[in-house]
Amino acid sequence: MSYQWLTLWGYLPDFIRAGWLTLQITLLAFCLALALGLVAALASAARTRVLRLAASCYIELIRNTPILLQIFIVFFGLPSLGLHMSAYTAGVIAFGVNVGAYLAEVFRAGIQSVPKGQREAASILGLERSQVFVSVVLPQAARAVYPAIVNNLIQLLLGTSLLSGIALPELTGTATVINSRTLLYLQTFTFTLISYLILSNALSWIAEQIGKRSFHPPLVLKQRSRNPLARRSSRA
Amino acid sequence: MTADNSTKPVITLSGVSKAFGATKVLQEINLDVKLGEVLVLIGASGSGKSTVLRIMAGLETADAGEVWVNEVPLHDARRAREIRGHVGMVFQQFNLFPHKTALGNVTLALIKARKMAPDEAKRRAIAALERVGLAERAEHYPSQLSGGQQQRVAIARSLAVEPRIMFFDEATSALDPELVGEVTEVMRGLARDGMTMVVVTHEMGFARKTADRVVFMDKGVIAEQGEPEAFFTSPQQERTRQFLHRVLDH
Amino acid sequence: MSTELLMASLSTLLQGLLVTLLLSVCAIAGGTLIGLLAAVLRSFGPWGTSTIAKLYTELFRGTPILITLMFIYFGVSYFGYSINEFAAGVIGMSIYQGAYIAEIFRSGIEAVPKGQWEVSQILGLTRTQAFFSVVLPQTRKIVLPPLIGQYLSLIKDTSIVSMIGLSELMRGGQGIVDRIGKPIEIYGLVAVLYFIVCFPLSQWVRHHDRRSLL
Repeated sequence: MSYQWLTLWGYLPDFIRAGWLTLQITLLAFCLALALGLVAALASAARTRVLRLAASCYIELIRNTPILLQIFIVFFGLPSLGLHMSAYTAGVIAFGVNVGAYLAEVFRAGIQSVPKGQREAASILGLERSQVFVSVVLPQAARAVYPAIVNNLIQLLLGTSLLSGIALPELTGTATVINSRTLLYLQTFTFTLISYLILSNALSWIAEQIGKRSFHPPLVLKQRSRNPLARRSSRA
Repeated sequence: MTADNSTKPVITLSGVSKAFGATKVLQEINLDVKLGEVLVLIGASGSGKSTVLRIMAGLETADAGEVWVNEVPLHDARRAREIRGHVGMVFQQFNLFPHKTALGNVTLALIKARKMAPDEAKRRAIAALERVGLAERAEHYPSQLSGGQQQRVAIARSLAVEPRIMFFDEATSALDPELVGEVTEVMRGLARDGMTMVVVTHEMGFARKTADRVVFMDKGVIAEQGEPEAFFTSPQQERTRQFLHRVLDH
Repeated sequence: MSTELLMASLSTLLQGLLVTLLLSVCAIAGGTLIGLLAAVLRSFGPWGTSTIAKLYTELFRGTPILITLMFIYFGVSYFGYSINEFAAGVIGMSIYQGAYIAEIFRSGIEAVPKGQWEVSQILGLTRTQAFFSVVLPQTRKIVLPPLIGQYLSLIKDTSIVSMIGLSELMRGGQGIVDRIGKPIEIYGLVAVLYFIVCFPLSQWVRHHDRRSLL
């Protein structure tokens, strides 16, 4: 039994390489998603109807179709229109566009969550509308959306496993290959599971540290859940 | 606390009406406020007193009538914006900027809207905070301050832009009872210094001691108004008597 | 694209859609049961069970669904049994979605004010009675929109089961493209079908969800 685990240990470089690829795609796609999400959120609040319509078409189209389908459309569909690309690029584009639509909603909700009174107070003090937005609304909205943003980042990371379907050698794809080669199914997938857990927890932890330092007062992400009937509580 | 009778009023409402949807909140309100006067608006919830205040501050627009504040015609949509930065408003919910320190809250408008140099803004801000007794808390965030302290910072924030008129929308209603005093003390100080103030409040003690004139609103109209002593000891209208009875004797 | 081709493709796709919907319904049922169980165990179980429930939710929310599916599908044959793709899909999706549903129920349960429990206790109800008659009904309004939202995700995620070979809607589309090409038209059609199913649900959720940061 331990011999099998040892064999798998020999594939560590492949796992690390695959994990690095996964991370790259995650971060690149997320940057694209942030940009698209912000643009779409601003467009949904725009005064021109065309912009609002475009934004909601984008958002609804993406949110009501599966990501796998979107990946296939980008990788298999776009080439028939003349756009050829690698699986890597297709992955970044597909996930960037997909998560962007979800982030648009997050941004929009975050901006709306800033109490109306904040805008009123700032306005009465003489601040221009753009100043109100940048100096008062945005900082508070950013704080409100931060947990959701981090959540989406993690979901993106986990989503990259689907790129194994377009033959990208990321974690899942590499695992499948190793599995077919070694037939050490249990060990391979356990390794993969652990790799994803490491990656997602590492990202969460980094996000938590950033959250603590960038916001005043410091933003704490992990909420301790209040349990009305916690038996382990020693209080009567 | 003395009102100047010889000059033109700083606030004039004539024939002001407002409805929210189907609800008529204000009906044909006529009201003047003179320079240096402390006007206190009282009434039950829904009487329209907050709406009158918010219309004066430019946060709501009247459906009908004329609203002149500081010689700015607020009823004229093109010119209404001129009032921003020249009046102060203190809200029931404080509305302090949570991501800024007390000092940051006060300097924000000075730097961004008044385009003041940061040092000058800081000096002015400290002075304003001193006036409300919170200069040593300048570097604290709102979450580190008590309700009363937060509201005082909010007052300092409004004072820093040197407004001609200060509006108070139930400034103490969200405070724990023992914190109300420190805020009303600051408000009294402002009144003593001659600030023109329009105050919506439930604090009858404040109205009695500090107001130059008390206005009682009921169901969207001004039911009665007068000097505080006369108003509280011998109200003329039946509904005023009922309201005072409910509010003053529990 | 010729009309016969369109019709033929459409019929294949509609068959796939049927499988998708069937899989979704089964997984929704399974996931909800597992999720409710996990939420109850986590909130009210003894320390051991509660921790297991907690680990369950954290494990499956922190790993990709595809891995879970592969684990089940290949795992079963590893141990010498056989399982068809549909069953593997139902089991995998139920376990995976159950973890998310558990969290939804958990926050719903915790959102009910503590006072409700105290009042029930004083009135003489047992904890089980309190839970089913007082607390759970009150979670409905809080829980329903995110729950429907999760079901929506589930329906979209059934497309992933195509990767272990199930002939649902996504696979159907792939098959056609493999044979005749025209990816844009075919996948476009697939997208329309998913959209028709998902859009009403997402509109409902949007309408009813107060916690709009989902």
